[in-house]
Amino acid sequence: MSAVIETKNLTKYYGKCRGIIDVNLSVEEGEIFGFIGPNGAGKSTTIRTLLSLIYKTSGEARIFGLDCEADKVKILEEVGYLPSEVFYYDNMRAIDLFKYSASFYKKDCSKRIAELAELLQVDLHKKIEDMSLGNKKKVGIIQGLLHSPRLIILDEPTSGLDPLMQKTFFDLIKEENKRGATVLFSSHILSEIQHICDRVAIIKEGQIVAVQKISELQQSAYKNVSFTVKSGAVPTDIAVDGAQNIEVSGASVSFIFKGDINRLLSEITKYPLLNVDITEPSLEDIFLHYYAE
Amino acid sequence: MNIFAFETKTQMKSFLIWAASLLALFLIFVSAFYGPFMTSKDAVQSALSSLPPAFSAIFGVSMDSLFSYGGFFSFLYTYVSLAGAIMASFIALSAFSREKRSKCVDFLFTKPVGRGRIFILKFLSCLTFIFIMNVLFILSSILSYTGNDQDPSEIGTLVLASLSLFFLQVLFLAIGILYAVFAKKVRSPSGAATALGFAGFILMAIHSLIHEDFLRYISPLNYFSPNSVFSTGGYELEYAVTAAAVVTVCIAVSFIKYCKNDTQAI
Repeated sequence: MSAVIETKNLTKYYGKCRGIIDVNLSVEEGEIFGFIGPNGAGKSTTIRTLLSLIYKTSGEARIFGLDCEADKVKILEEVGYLPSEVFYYDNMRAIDLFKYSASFYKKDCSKRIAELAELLQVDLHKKIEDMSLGNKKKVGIIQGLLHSPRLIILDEPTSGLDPLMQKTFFDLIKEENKRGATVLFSSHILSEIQHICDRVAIIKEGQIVAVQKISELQQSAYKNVSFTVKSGAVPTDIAVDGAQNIEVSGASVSFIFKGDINRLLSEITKYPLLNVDITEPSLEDIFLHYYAE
Repeated sequence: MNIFAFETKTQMKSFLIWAASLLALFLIFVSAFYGPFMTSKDAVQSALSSLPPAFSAIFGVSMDSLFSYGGFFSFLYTYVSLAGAIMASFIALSAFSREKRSKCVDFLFTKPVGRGRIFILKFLSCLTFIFIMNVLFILSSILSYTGNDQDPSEIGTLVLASLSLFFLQVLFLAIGILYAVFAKKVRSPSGAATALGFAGFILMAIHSLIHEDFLRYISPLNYFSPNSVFSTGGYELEYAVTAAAVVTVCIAVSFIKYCKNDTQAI
């Protein structure tokens, strides 16, 4: 296994404004790597620097072991990119765009275009500007995948797609991954990353705060605890060691817990309980936890 | 080459409209006005002399040289050059702001092709249009020249004078590219091109009125004058050099900016 994407202290400032600071990433060949963070955290900046759409301030960025700026053309031959906002030339039909796009690669893509158009149900002869956002997005997906790239970079790819189409899209990405493609998947929606990615990097204010396996993230010691009490016995002050973000609404209490489970239980049993739930936290909860710090 | 083909194909329709209108206008003017002009020399002379001199200066009417084919050509060229300048700016603005306008810079710049190469291929596509346009223009002026029973031995001078339009268009191509590359937003290439053309026209009018030599250096429409070719047999070196410098600087600066610029996220 070798690193398909590797950055060392990659830093980008827009003038004096922060873009990203000291980003260190290593995406292995064949993995689906999630890249998560809220708007403005630096996801797109990282991706755009990798693609040499913008130029780094300092640090190092390599794809397939090649320098992102010096060997840009060679790298891009095997990269497929889907930008978060899809816009294409005025007055152009989908098929014209695909043909133009395909003309940049040294292979025949017509079969793949037909397959993808069929799978995603894109009307090839419709003008792109007359399409709905979801259909434009599909055009973007096909445009990014038609040359069967080794590395697929997706910047918030699912916005605008209906749930059915999202599923088709995820299946497609998994298939590409099975074929051998490495995928960098940026998103601010955790649940979609959770389903598809092997590892995830969390970015906050331009810096990577954690890189973890999805499975490890969820196995962290945190538990979601919620319980409901009989009416009239609404707890007003709850103090359990290790409980965070305590919320009381009506007769229900919920919090994130990390600590001695026995003490937690003995504390809870003081109340006349109707129901208790102790569950694995969702990625959303973990995510909020990272951002609360 | 795919970029060249794409650019040329995309731009072809508007080019054809521009070229046809400009050439038709030129030929109609020559065939409609040259004959009557020459036959009614005295009447025209007296009518024009009653106008204030400033007026005739703005409209490019110079009494001494008007009543020759060269004079008439130079007079017409004032308007041809304005249209030609707008046309060349339009072609440049249209080609070099195409991705910016449709917000698909990301699309083109993430294809396996260097930005320098994109720039050069777009530029070559624009130049091809200008080249074709001027071949047609020279043919038209030869047609109008021989059609009006002029001396065939002077045809070389006419061709050289007609080349004014080519040099002028290359100049405005370069200015248009500079504008397209540096402008944050280009809403309409035709609007911006018209603005560039009329800015040139105003500078030319100011130069015609004030007649200060240094003003001519900032008036691109005056760099290449058919009048000078008809009267001296060639262009004025200092303005030709200025034009070459302007073109070189515009293209070089635009090229660097185009290659080195951070692409704006939408």
